[in-house]
Amino acid sequence: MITDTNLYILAGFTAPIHIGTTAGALLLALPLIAVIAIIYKVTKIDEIKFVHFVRQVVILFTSIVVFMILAAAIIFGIIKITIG
Amino acid sequence: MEEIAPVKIGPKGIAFLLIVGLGAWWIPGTGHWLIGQPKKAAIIFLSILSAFTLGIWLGSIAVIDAGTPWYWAQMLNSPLVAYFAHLSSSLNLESYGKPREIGEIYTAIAGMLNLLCVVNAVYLAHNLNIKKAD
Repeated sequence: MITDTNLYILAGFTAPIHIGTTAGALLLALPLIAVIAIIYKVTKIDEIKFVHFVRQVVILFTSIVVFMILAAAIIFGIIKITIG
Repeated sequence: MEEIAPVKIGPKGIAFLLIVGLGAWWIPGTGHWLIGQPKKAAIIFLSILSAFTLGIWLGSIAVIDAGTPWYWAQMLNSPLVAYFAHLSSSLNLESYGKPREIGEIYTAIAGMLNLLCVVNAVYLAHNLNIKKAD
């Protein structure tokens, strides 16, 4: 049953936000990459010690971002060479 | 070569694994909390919830659509996602294009990350069972 309270809580989630087809939209990948890095490290590290954990997460986050940029640059290069 | 004797786990041990697995599925992080790892539980809960909430904020709850294959991955967040699918269809909410696409990706990946946590919690619970049996 949908009550007024439910509708009030969900009001902010009933319409999508505007996301343009711009290079800036790619930044939306960053929070997701951060969550992936955090969850992966939580399952891998035996005991959570704040500084060590944060360092590991930052290293993984940076690695993913750097490799995605490299992959994008390589694909861009291949397309430029083959299609022009 | 030394033979390793198989460890027998009783019905209590199996019930514990089931409770950990189901708990971790219903509320992300519960599995780790049940096996005595509250820090990991809190991090998992906040991370999965953040990714899921961001997903439904970007694309609206219309991204939870029982008619798409994404729904199966989204359901891995929690069975409570079925309620969002019900709300989405009963309110006739619509979402198209990039916001929907990004919302689906966020919510589905959050679900798959929760599956990773469920498997990890059950594995750690199994290790606890073995330690107790020894």
